[in-house]
Amino acid sequence: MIVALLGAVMAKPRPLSPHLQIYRPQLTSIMSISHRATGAALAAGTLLLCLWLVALAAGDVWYSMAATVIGHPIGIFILFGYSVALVYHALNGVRHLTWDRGIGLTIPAVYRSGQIVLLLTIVITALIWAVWL
Amino acid sequence: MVRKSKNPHGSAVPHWKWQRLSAIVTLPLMVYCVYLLGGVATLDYVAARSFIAAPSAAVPLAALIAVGIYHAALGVQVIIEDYVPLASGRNGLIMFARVALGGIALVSLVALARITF
Repeated sequence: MIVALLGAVMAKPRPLSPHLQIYRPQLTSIMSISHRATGAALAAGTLLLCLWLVALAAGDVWYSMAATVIGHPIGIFILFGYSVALVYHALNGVRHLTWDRGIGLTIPAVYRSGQIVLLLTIVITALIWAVWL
Repeated sequence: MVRKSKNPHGSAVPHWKWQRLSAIVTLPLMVYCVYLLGGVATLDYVAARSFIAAPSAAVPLAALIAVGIYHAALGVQVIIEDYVPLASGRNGLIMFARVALGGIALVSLVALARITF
């Protein structure tokens, strides 16, 4: 049975990238996987914007219900998480676009731009919520 | 020398290009819409509805939904291609993600149209 299992595992045609389990975490790899994770979260979160628009189109009762959910601590927590993901993905996306232009590709530059992205994510997210609340 | 791609879906270059172009278009729209929607959550129903119905809000919001969700579909495809083996239903999952995101975009735009008109 073990031989059969091993055979099934080894029969996989090609390994899948990135190799998350055997790769030592570092700022660059963590930020790379975070770009994907936030991107996936933002994609899933479009459903929430969709539901809010549907509630607004549906009428007063539905809109009030949506407003109650948004005002609840859990709603605020999700919205806060969404804002962090949004700001991070946007800033790190700009970092990717500069790389596509061939800018900042040395290892020290990649680390520095990574630190700038993390710092700006905190600052801009804080600014959004400071203005908002 | 660049080896010719054996990708059954054809060249990967258009995907790469459209992911960047949609990102560049999404970025300013997203900044504007965050600025726009920041205050809307505190508004009551009538105020929120007339606020979203205004062309200065509805038009960029519609553009953001269309281009942003297109960007999301391209990105989700890359994630699925990297982590889901072909034998585990990779292509079906990509199709599902496209249909789901397309549906979200369509419903959002219809809702937005009903708010505006």
